[in-house]
Amino acid sequence: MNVTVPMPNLSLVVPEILMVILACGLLLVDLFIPKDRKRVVGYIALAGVVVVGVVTAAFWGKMAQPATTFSGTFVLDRFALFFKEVFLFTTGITILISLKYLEIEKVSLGEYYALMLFCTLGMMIMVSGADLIVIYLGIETMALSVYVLAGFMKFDHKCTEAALKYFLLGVFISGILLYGITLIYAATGSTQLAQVAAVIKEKGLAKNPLLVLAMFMLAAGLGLEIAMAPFHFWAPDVYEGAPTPITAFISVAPKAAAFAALVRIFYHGIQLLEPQWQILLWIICAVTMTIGNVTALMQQNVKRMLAYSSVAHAGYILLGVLAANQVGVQGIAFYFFAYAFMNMGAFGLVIYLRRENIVGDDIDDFKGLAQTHPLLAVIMVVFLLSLAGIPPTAGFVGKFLLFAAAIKAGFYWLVALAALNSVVALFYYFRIAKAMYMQSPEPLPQLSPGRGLVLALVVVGVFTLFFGIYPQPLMSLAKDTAHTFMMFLS
Amino acid sequence: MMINAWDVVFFFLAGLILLSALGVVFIRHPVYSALSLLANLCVTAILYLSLMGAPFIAMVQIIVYAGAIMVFFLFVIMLMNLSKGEYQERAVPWRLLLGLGAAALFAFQIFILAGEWRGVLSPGAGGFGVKALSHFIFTRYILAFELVSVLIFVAALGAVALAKKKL
Amino acid sequence: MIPLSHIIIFSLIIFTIGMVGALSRRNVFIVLMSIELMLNAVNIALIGVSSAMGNLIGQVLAIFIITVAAGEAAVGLAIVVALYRNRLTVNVDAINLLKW
Repeated sequence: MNVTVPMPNLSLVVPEILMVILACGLLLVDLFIPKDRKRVVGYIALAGVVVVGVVTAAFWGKMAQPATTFSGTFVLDRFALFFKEVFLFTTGITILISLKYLEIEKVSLGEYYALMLFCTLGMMIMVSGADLIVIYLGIETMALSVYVLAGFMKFDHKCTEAALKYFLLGVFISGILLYGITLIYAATGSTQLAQVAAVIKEKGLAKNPLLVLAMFMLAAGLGLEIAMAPFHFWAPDVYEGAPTPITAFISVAPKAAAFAALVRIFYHGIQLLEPQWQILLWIICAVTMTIGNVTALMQQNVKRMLAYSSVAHAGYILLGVLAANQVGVQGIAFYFFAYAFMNMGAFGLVIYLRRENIVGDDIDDFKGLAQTHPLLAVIMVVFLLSLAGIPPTAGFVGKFLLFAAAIKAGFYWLVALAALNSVVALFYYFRIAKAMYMQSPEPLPQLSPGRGLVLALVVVGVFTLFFGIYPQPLMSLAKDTAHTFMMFLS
Repeated sequence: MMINAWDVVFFFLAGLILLSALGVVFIRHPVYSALSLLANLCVTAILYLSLMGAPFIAMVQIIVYAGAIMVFFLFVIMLMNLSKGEYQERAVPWRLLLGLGAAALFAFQIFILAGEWRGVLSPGAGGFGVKALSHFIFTRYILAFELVSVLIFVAALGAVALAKKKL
Repeated sequence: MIPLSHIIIFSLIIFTIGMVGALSRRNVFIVLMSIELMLNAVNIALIGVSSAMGNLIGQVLAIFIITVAAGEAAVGLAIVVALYRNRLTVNVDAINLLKW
């Protein structure tokens, strides 16, 4: 057999290649940096992430049409690019808020940053995967790094426990995801999304029980990272136990990646099963929002409260997936950027309150913050308003888009439920504000945040307000994203 | 009714796999459970080799699964050197219910899907050689292949970062 | 000639056994091994489908699954070792500082 290996178009994977080089290089550099100056590794990682972000952004203009490479297993379109920017932004902010935290926790290690970059790489592959095998491997690369990062403070009992729970559940669910992929393969003879879609259309498999079952399993597999209803119960435990910067990271980036993969598989692979997956997602969406918000009401720990609130946010974003129209995809894309700003900000504040012997994640730690640190309290209020979806913040615009998409698609009851849920959400966000403004402070030791953390808070705070008042730039980017993505369908 | 020689082979291997799978789940002592899994994996490899025409997977199964992963499991289990009390598990009703519920769900699926499968395996027809498989991996799935190398690297890095005692 | 349905039903049975083990056992090692069993069941189905359809994708995915399983085992056991150092237990129900 004469074998010719075609050269794939490598120019489309330049950001991923750079990411691998950066992560491996970081590990090498780490060897030569003395123990007490590991912060330098963080700075290098940050600079690298910025470079990769710029390189990725440079593709934007060229990608009016989606391009595939590696025999169609990898696709680069604006949808993928947009989400890659979300991941890179989140990673950058996470590195900034980690610098000081790791020193306080005495786990300042170069591996931490390298793993975070590998995790970002996995997510970048996930959103660009046009083949279920590639998507699966992207998920696993991301998940394995996240498990380790979640347990990184290995002498902390809660932390290793969180990692174990996350790991066991994640591996279990990935088995189910794999069975779903197997069923799709069995029914259509391919794992490539475009071919799967073509075979379904050609053979009229839209009601095939194998595919319906596969749809359930894929939703379950991705639903774990999304933290949607039946698979949300790991979230509060892991969020509480994991190092706070990683909690912030987990609550945004893997969720965004899993959503992007879900949208790509459901819209481009099994879109003819739309009647079936709409029923499934309708139920999940309603349950996820309600459970998230109602349970969040009862939490005393801020990290747990934010965990349940992030479950609720997954429910809102599902509205956009459900709508299956251009506004929906635009809403998902916009919301994830807004969500990255506000959620990273809220967790950043929890880190700000981290002192020797105090984790800073109890609601009482926020008492009287308005008197001791008025500026900090104001920033927190901005994040809380944004999370609650009140103008003039980015969260409001995002939520508005999602609701509009769902109304356009005719899901009136679900939007009514979502609106009701947003009111419930006000109560628990208000509890934090109340603790800051209406209760008197306890004598606190001096807070000593790093410069990185302050910078991160300023950046996300400014973005939250800026894109709330003037959302047009981000909105038009999100619109282009949605446009090229939905074009594929017709 | 005609009894085919291949049917006999299949049911014999399937019976062995089933028994060893039950062993993994229901044996109390983790070391014996691990040995049972080892047996399971080896018999599965024979199944691949004899009936499914997948010699390369059979070899990989033996070398990687049985040779590396299971040895790793056994090594860690022995490293912990658990006392007898650690193996005593009280049956927790809700956990058992959860397990049985999942089983019932899957049995239901089997019931639904039983009629959905067309196609037969024809053992002895040759199957695929290593050459065809490797050609496929190194052309169409080259990206996935490279990604797997990153994944293994991440796993090694993570395992070292978590397990080494001194930071 | 073995009908594909035999293979698939057989693999679903093994998958279910693994699932019961993963959900009902409490020793962390056995939970992990049950999950390996589930992955093995997926492989049986994949290779069965692959050879019945005369299509190699299933075998490719099976190789990747075996590799990923190795990675998962490494990370999982490292987490167990780290946890064992802290708690001196491998019982899932004793690991309950965080309420579920």
